[in-house]
Amino acid sequence: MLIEALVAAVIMLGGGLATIAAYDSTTRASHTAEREAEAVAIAESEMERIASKPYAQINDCVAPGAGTGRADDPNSWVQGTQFFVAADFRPKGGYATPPSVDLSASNKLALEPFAVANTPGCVQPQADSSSIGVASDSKITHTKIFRFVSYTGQQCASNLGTTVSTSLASGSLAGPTQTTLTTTAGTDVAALCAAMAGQQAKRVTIAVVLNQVDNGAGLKYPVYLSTLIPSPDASLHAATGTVIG
Amino acid sequence: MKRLRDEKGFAVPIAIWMLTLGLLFGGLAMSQALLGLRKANATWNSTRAHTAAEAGVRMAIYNINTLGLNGASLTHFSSVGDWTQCAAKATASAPLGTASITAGKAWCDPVVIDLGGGATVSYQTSSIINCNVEVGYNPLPALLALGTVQDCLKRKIVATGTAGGVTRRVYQEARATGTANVVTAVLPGTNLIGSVTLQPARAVPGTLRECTPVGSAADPSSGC
Repeated sequence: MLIEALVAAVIMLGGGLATIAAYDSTTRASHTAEREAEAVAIAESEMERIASKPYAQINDCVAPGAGTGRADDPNSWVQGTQFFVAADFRPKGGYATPPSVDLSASNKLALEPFAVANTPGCVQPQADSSSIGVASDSKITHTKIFRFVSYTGQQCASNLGTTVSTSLASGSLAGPTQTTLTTTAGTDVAALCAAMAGQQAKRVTIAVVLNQVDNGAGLKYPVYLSTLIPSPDASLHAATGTVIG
Repeated sequence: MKRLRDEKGFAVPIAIWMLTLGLLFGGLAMSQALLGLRKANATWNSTRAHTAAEAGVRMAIYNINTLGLNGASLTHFSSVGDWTQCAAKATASAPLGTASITAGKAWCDPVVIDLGGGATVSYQTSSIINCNVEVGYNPLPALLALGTVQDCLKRKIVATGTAGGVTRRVYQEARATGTANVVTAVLPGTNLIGSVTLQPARAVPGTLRECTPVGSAADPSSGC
């Protein structure tokens, strides 16, 4: 009877500890899911806030600073005055210690200059969410928001000037009008392509980093959200002023 | 009765039974937590895909304006449908060009943009649709008369954002207005246009909406 009770006690003790450990993992997994959802919501609202600004105001107030080089630090993608646009911002798999960011050529989509202008409406490249309205009792207090604004470029096809001019050419146009359109289209496309090569649009990348909570729950790596915002007033006739295009 | 009253042999089975119950509930809780994690990840991908799709709409309107894609429909006034121009990119990294819409098609081919971080977007624009009635202009006459003709040019845009295997599609319309000044009637039905003006296309307020994840090849706006 005593031996049986001892065996039962050992089973209960071992099993109980295993069950407690399982519940602890469950709790952490739940917290992690909850906090990832919160981080995504923060990134989304921040993106909407920035995208709703006038195009001229969408700039970093100051150039973002260099990071630690680790994958859990969004500033690690800052390369001098340029932003490393990665094909994949997050490292694959889980790591006890975050690895270095992958700055290899195979992970590089582009290296883009930051859009920096300390003018009214500009955005700070880094903020502590506790200072922009997140409730102080939230699990995400002291979560960091990173805002990178960079210029993205686009190459034009070599025959773009020809295809645009040809499309506008028409027998319905009076001679001088036709000549003006053809001439200005060539000039305008050349100017457009020169501008687009470096500044087709502004790329806004938001990164949200969660702080650690007591039970260790949380995301190992930041949540990233990117979009492109071109100038809504851009048009073909920017160079010559000819009102077509 | 004596055997039933005997308590020997109960402790271990009861301990194992309680342990099994505990592990069962623990397993259930764990599976729910993992489901929550997957849902959170899916939410993130969905947000990224939606953001990408909205970027695609903006880039579509930008390209309509900067590449003068609506201009040809004004300079070829009486044959709008035949002169729809499209932005064209063979791949996400290919240079940007233009192309005439393929005969018999109402939509331009997709233009793909890589947003980085595993998110991509492809957008398609429709051929030009006359929208004079929508903005209160007179309908285009079959034969142009001398004077200024007002024209409203509308395009439908469908952008598909993809991130982490999640696809989100959005639809929006973009509208531009222009004028052509008909100066000479060479022959009945054949006119000379002295000047044209074209305002940049703008997104039409209230037309942005979500679509089902998959449209049809013939009409990408189906399901929107």
